[in-house]
Amino acid sequence: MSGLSTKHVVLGLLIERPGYGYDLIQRARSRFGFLGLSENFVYRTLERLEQDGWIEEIGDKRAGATRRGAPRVIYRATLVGRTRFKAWLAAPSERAVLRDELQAKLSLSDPDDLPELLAVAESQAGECIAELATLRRPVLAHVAEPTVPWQHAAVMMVDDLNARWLQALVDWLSAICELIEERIERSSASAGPLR
Amino acid sequence: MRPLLALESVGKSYLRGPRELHVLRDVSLDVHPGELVGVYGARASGKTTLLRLAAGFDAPTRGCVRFDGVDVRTLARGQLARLHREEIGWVERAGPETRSLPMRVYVALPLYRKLGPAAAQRRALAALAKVGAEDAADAHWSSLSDTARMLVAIAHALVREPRLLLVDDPTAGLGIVDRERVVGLLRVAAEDERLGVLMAVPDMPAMLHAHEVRSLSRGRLLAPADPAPTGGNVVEFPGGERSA
Repeated sequence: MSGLSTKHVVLGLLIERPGYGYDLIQRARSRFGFLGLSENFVYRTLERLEQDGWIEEIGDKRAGATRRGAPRVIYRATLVGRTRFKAWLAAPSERAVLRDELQAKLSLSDPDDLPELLAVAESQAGECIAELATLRRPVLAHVAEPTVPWQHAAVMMVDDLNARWLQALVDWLSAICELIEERIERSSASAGPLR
Repeated sequence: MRPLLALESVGKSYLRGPRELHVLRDVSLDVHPGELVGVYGARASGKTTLLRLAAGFDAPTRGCVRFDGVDVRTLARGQLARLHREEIGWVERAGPETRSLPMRVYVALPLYRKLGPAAAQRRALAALAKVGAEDAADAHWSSLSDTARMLVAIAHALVREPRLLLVDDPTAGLGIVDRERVVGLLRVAAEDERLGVLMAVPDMPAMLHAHEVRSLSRGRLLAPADPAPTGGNVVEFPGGERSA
């Protein structure tokens, strides 16, 4: 298995509260946009979860019909599903694998490519700063506060992780830029080829 | 709106033997009233040099530093001293040179000549209360925690009712909650008092409190590149205010 179990993500959303397909897609996108879940994928996952007996349909008349008039199928987690979900929470987590394209470029590049690599690394650091600017202002002091909804607290902690992640990346980019620059400088000083 | 502080293509270099050592290269940055601008930089990235130039403590090798539109280099020594006494609050966790001073006196010092001891100390107590460090009023520097020292340093800067705060690494040695408290305080000072605040931190989570973020690396200042490559996970919820 590689990466995060999207099946458990969909299941977890249904444990929070029952929902129908489109509602789940919206919730998954707003909370886990980085997973890039497609509509099809969410519907297929729902089917699979139902086949496995982790979720079931509930006939909720109040939910009414979709615009096209077809009845909306509302799902909820079963007891088996809840048990599986708890087991997932307690199981060791997949750690994100650093798969930065620059890693590959760096490994496959030639010393003649160093000026271009330097430019790429610099612009990537700028992108990291842009991403930092999109993160929420945390109120981590609230995380320990029992009256703050846990979901909100969790989101703050995830943004804190994102900020630390970006910091590590920016530090690395800055370090390699310094080293590459030094190498370019020394090579031109000795007037030899960059390698 | 004219920026309160403007660094215009500022460079700073030193001669190290035959080599010119560039500490800052072509740095441009504006700070407006009411705005907390955060500059991220790892160790030895030029953060303190940037702040010293912004304060007018050092002159840039290239470019120009303007405070309220005026090139700081054109100021006479007396005008610059007045700027430091009244308009610019410099925040660093250095503490008083005379270690026996109680903090109510240390914080009051910038106002002693202008207001006299009694009135200056009253203002100092108010400044200490504003940052939540009233407990430190009668304490001495040596007995204070890192967090209390930082709060006192902020009070010492705020007491003169400056227009600009320059803050060097407000988060050093602080735990995660105190870090947030201190940087949050700087943001509130910016917004409530319409101060311009420029802070340099070696810590990106602390940057999330800033209105504007920059990164200093190898003497160059990076602004956010557009557009951000990934969408990130965006959730709206009450209190989940966006930083930018």
